[in-house]
Amino acid sequence: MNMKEKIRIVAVLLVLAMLFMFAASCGSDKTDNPSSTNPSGAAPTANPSNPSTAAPNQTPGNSDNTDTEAQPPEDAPKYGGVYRYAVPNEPSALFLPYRSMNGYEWITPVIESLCWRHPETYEFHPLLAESWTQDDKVVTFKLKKGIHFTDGSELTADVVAWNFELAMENGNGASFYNPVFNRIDDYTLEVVFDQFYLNAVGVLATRPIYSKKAYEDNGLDWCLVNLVGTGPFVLKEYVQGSRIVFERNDNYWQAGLPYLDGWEILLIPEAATQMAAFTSDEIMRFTTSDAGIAASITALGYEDVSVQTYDSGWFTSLLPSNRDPDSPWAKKEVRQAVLLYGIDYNELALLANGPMANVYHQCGFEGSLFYDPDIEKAYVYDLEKAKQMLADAGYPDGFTTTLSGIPANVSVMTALQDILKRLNITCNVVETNPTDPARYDGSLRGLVVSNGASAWDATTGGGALVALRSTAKAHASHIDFTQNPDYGRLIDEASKARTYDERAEAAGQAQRILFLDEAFAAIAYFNGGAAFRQPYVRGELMEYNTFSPRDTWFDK
Amino acid sequence: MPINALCAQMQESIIKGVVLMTRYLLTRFLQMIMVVVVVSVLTFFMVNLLPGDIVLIVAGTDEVDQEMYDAIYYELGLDQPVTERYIKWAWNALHLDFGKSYTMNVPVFDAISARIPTTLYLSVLSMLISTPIGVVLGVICAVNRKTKIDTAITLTANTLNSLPSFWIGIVLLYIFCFKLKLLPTIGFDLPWKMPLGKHLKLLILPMTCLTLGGIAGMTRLTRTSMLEVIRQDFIRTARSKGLREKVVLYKHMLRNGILPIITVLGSRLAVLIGGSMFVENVFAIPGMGTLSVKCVQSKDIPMIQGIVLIMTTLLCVAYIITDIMYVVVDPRISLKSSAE
Repeated sequence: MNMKEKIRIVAVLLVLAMLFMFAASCGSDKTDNPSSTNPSGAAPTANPSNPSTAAPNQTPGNSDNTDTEAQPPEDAPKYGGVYRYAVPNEPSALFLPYRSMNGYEWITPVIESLCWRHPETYEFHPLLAESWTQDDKVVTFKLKKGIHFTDGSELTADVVAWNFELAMENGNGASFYNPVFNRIDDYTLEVVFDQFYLNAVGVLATRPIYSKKAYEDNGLDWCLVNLVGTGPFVLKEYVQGSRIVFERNDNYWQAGLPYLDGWEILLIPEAATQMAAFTSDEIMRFTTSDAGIAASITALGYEDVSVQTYDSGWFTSLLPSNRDPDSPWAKKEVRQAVLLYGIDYNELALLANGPMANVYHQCGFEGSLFYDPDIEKAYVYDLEKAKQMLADAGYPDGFTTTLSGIPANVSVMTALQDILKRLNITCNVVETNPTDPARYDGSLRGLVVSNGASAWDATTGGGALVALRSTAKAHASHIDFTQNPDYGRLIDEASKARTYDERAEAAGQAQRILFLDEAFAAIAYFNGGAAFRQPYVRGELMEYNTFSPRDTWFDK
Repeated sequence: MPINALCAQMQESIIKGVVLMTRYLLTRFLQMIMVVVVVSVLTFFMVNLLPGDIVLIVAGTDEVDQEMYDAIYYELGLDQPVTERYIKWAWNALHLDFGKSYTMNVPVFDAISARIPTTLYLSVLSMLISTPIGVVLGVICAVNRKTKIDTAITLTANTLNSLPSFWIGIVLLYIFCFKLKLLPTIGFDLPWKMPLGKHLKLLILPMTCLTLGGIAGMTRLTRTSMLEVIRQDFIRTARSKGLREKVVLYKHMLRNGILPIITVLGSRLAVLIGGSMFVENVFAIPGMGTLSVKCVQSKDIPMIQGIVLIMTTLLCVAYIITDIMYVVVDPRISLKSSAE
């Protein structure tokens, strides 16, 4: 056989190999995943919440037991293993007193808070704090004794107070109302607010507590990329843009915990890569808002374990600007015509977010503090009625307007542009950068597509006020809420309410004005998603799809 | 010639060569400085024109009160004129201080130096693999032009050249990681930071993505270049002198046909480094590509400037090396004429 013939054979083999590869990648045959076992025992409920949101420091404490010895669960957990999961983004810094941050999961293995909150009952349970009381404007925390940070310093009232005071110095105090902190003794901290707040305990209880000594010894720059806390894990390695690796804290103050040897968060921007890593058992958790990907994972035998909670939902909202008196949006009738009757929200949600979106028109789901079924009933897609209302308002032939939003909302704007054409409303779509000052300086007009997070919970209702308030505050530049003086008054009444019933009453009325009476805004839908985890992952809070580094273990 | 005279002549040649090389390198170095300065000025002013408020990006939220806004604004030096900020930055850059990243809160130099080895490792390795394979295949095609071999290889090269690297990456991921589960998906790091066996397994897919396109391009280029040379009279002369075909191929054809390939090598490195961001994104590799995308999206001006400056410098060095290789390969080209 001469050289030419040999080369010919090699070339043919190469081509055949390529054809085989293409053939192997075609089709969607359902193959058994050898690494997957039976689906996990958690049963998903009807409407998934945003699975990418993790409540901070949702770790099981000792309930009301002040004993630091952990009570082992009934089915004895096993020790060992490293929990890994992937996220597409990382926070800009790890030090909360300096900068607010998204992505609490990056710090919860190391940094703990005064209390932890149960994801279903929303009750606060002791963690670093032993007990607390609230007497009008004063909240008093008693800390557990003998808890140390991993640098050896002790958790004291001074350290806790320093955490909050540093946050206030850096301009982050508004989230907990900028109170005054008095150190009564080493383990008693008194917090004095300027007025009574119904959620005063809540805004303090779940805030992460960092080591003061670490800050004083190493400085701010070091703290931005390092973590020293009281938690079940210690920071082993942080490679920005790649991963953060924690290892077990052998001196954790709760004896016997944690069960795992390590905890890792990997930065994987590409959803396909995350999916491949999950099905290969390289990561233990996977979330997606893509229905196709979710279906692929489900087809492999994994169960969607996303859980609807009353809070933590990301919604897409429509905000018509009423500041320009010559604009059609200045008229209440126009806003009501379009927002209440002129948009098929089911179609919009499907086109913009896929089949996993949930169409709700208020700041929370059924069961939350001031869910109002009448608001849902008020949104009825009736094209003829909408056109008639527009005609009565002086726009029988429709009008032209600007439709603006951030690039992430392009799909919403495109779908909406098409839907509004049915009302003879012509939209000029304008993309705005998320940090574009035009979004906040009043120069934006027309209809704005925006996003918000609804922290609407069943017991405190504090989060819903955040949603209603942020709808007012963040977009106040192009919405004039003073057109209805009752709205602002009711929001203030709700924030100053002394009981949850009072709050529910005032905020409920404010919500009706916002969404129905004035139609200042409309919530189009809540973003849906699915969450999957490896079936051998166990933990007390796992059924709530909540991060819980302390009590997670592997049943294998 | 007496030995003394011979030694003196050799000594004179060496000194002349060193002087010529030094002069050449100095000239190219000065040109490089000019290029880097122009690029840095353009980048600085263009980035400042990007939409978005840096203060809100650094704050990480749009719920910022005026006090916090002002604090960040003055901390970043945004109250100073753009020209003053550039001059200050340029002076610090001369001392390798590119400032602090707005979003990562670490010195820019540290962030880049942590990631550049990964990208360079992948890019250079890809070049080292794709270039000889591409040249060999190109020679085979040229020698066997208009045969079935030539058609098959050329068709394959054209197809591979047309496919985007990130698409190849996702397909390979799907086949080898998702379906067949033969290779690991994530966890890539440099070979001296992890077990070699694991590193090689993690290297296969990203290297395949980066290399396939390079092989295809080199094959086509080599084929074209060799076909140009094959038609030359001196090749016919060499054959008619009775030289063996291998000698004609390697000593005459390849040596003359390789110049365009050397030309491409410098720009090939630039393409690889730029194209690596797709591959790094798909395989979650923390390199310069992912860093570049992130810093542009977040308008991290110090990081953008640092990356542009360092990459420009690296590429200028690559072009200088390419020019020196010309002289080595083709004695007709001198450093003097090359610098001109």
